[in-house]
Amino acid sequence: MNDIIKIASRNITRNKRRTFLTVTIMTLGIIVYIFGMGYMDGIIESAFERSRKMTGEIRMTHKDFELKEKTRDLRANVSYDQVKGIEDQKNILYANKRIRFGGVIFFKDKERNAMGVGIEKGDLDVFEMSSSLIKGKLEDFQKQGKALVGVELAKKLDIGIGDSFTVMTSTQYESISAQNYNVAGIINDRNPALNQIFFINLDDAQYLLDMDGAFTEMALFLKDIKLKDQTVVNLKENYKELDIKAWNKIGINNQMDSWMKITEVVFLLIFGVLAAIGILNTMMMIVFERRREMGVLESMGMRKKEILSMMTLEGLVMGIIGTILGIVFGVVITYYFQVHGIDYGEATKDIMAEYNMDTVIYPLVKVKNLIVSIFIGIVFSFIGALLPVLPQLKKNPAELLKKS
Amino acid sequence: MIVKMAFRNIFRHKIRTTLTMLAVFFGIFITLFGVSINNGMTRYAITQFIKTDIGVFKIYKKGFYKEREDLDPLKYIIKDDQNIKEKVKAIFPDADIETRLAFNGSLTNGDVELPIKIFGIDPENENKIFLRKDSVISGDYLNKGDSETVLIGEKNAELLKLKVGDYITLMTRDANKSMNAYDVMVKGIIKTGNNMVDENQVFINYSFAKDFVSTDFGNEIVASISETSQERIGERIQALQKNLKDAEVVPWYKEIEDFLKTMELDEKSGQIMMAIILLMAGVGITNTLIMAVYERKQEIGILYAMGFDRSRIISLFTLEGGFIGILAALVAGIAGGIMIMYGAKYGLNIPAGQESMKSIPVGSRIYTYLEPMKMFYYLLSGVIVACIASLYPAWFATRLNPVEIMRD
Amino acid sequence: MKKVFFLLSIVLLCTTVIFSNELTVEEILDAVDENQTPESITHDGEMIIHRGNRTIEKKFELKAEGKERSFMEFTYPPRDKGTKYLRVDDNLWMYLPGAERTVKISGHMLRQSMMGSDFSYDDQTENRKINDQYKSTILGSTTLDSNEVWIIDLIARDGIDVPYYRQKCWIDKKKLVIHKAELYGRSGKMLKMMYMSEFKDISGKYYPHKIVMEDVIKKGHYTEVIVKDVKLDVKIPEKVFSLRYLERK
Repeated sequence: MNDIIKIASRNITRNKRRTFLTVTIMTLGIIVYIFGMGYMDGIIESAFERSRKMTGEIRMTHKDFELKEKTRDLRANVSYDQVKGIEDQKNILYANKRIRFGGVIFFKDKERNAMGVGIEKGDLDVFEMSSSLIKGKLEDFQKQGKALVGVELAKKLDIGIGDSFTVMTSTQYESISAQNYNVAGIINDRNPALNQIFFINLDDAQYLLDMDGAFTEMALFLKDIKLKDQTVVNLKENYKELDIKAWNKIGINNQMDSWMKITEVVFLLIFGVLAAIGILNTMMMIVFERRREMGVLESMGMRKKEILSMMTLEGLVMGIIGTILGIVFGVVITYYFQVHGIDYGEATKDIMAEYNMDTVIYPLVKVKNLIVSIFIGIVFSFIGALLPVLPQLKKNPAELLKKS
Repeated sequence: MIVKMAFRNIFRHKIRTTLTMLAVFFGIFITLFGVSINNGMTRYAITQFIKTDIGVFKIYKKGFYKEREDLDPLKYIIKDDQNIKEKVKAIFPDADIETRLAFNGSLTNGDVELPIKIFGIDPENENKIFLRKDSVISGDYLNKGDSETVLIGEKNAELLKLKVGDYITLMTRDANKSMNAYDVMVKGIIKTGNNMVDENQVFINYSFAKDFVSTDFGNEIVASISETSQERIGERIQALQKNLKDAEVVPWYKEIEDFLKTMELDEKSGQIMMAIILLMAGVGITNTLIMAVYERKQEIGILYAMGFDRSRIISLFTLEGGFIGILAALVAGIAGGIMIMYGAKYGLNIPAGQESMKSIPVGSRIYTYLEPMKMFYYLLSGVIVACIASLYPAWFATRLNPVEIMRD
Repeated sequence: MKKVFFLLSIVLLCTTVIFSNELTVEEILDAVDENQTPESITHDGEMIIHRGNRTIEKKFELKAEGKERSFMEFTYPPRDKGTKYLRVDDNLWMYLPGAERTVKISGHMLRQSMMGSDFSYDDQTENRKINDQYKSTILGSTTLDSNEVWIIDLIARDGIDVPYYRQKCWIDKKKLVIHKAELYGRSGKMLKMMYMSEFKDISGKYYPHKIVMEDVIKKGHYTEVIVKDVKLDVKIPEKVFSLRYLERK
């Protein structure tokens, strides 16, 4: 066996150009696989992330919340007592209380219906306000009576930093209520829906809507999102009177989730098959090319089994090297774009500016994709090396030598 | 001569060629599949918008459309609808035209009150334009003489626990600013697949609607023509607008402008994906040809000896790659074409895609669609990728030292 | 439509026969207007809003001059304290104390409920004489809670905007006040029902001390207004009916 390893390794190092080419092609295949899947995952993940921002990884609400949501009835709310001890529950990282409400905004002579959200400090991080803020200061927002306004809404109202606007709405007891808020910041989020609304502090929202000690939604973020379903079960046990749902079970997300899962499998197959064909192809070429060599070796007295092991070993080694290099480069390239993003809307920026749409995709480096790429790289280089050798072994050395 | 040689060469190694072609074929086919599904969904959604809600164009009273969210539609009635209809007919002789009366109101059973848009329709013309009859999933469609009956969407029926034959209250504030309400019988429950319609709209008879809000006129004119593409109707729409002084023509592509922009961006991001897939297929070709070059070192040497120069050797290998590309593209084109035609006719049943986007009307089956030009474009890009992918191996072939090759 | 006309003509015929020697229906309605619209009035009020099992209580003070001008300020609960309405002719303004802002209520907002009650702004802003808005007929006489009443049918005059197309009123023959009114849409469907009771004689005029408005479409929705401390014909300073007064702190 030692001998075989020796010969194999000598073969690999001796024929540098061939080795280089095979490894390069393997590497390219793996790079494209990792990047392609990362791109796909980037698209899916950004859609999911938007959804999770809006609902939390798990959402806790009043039992009637979904029914009452349509008519914006704030009476389907939850009191602080009902969620006592939520922070100490297993797997809970943040528990952010929110109130979503509708109202009329008055600014100067303009009047417009708009949605508002009362948020806690923790949600500034969830919504990544520090990166979406285009004007103003986040520190200012945390004072009483301050608001963050989505850029689209701000445009419609023609409102800027330091301006005060009036929000008129009904409290949960149907009293008319109106307050003024001072614009502390303008936000331009990648999610266009957030650019149409405004944010105020939860305390202010509670005052505005006469909801002291209550809120409409609690957005939970977990230490380990993989355990979300377990956490939902656990929470349901402890908070029986509330509606508790994982983000992907809420309304539209539910369908989107299963749709995306299918899409992901389809693309995994596409890239997997393409990478596999490439690798298989390369390996087969090498072996075909070396039929004569096999004949020589056999006539020199090497056993068929040994030849087989040698050939596959060579293929495997090149496969492993190619895979490792592919993963290294694939991760580097994908990670570069994960940080910098690919802006496919660049060319049409001017037209798109007024629509304020998200045209940047951030591909993701995912361990799952790396594992699959290792699997594809190694298994297919092994099969690719093995497949063409097998039929050759049946032939006698003379036959192999004759053919070229 | 080179062409013949290149062509013959690719059939020398059937397995290798097959595998390479498979990679290219697969790349192009998947691209066609993805793009045609995407385009099909967009097209279906556009058709749905046109066929269920907005028609090919609508005509409103001037000044209404832009501020429609904030205005009272009953203040923007169109008195000379006959005159406008004639003008429409003059430019679009085959148009189906309907005057409707649309206003805001609510639907209530005493417990729940749902804000809703009420449409007074002429059942016959409405059906010509919107095929409204087909969307009735239980009960019946409206008849011309019907009064105090309503068609409501499936989801609202569910929410208010209504069956065909049940009564429900419709409320509104009429043209005289008086409150008015009717207990109307649910004559039919509709499901168009367009959530905008199914969740927010109800339909009553035009004459009943006029009584309901005490007006003698409608406030929107909907028209449908067989031709819908913007390029072909754009000019005529403008001509019609010029003929109408007091009214505004809003074609479908203006009404769903935002949606179209989103789809445009969607396609762009999809194209990047397709580029990656084709790149992968390209790698396969490079790979095969490099091997081929290796294998045919001696042959290349002989060609040199025969007086072939570098450029001809490069052309030979590039052509080989190109042929693989063309053949694969051809097969992929045929297979893809069949798939698209099948998908366009019968639709592909893709589970869970049904309600993936709430604001966009997507049916239970996805009908594929790809413009022939686009298909050609994708096939061509497959071939081009194949040619580019063979450049490196071809160049590589010329770098081999002829003397060394012969000795080997 | 034809049916309505037919019925109406029959009713008309009857009324002329029966009531020819008494007050005409226009005279009755003018008298009701006269009786229920004091030169000037101030009073306190309690508004009890019923929503199924839930009740919400509010308190307010009202100052009004004729049908044209009124000023209303809410004093309870703390949430509503300082919310004020000013009406001058057809204009209605609301002052929002939390925002220190005045908002003019117009257009579709008039349809909305006032302070979450079953009175709409429309119900509140009515300042025209009944006879100017409605054609009337006496449908007959009956007794209601041991009061002799006429049942009078009111139908909107052509081209006049009214919040309710038709009203059916039970009018006290002696006190010339409305005890009960059913409010209908043009469709003939009843939308609301209003009751007035506890009429007290103040300086020769009967003024109701309890008004109930019921939304007959929404189950269990009605609002009671209890009127207290009525003062008629008091001098109200001119400045009360100004925007500046509305916005004072």
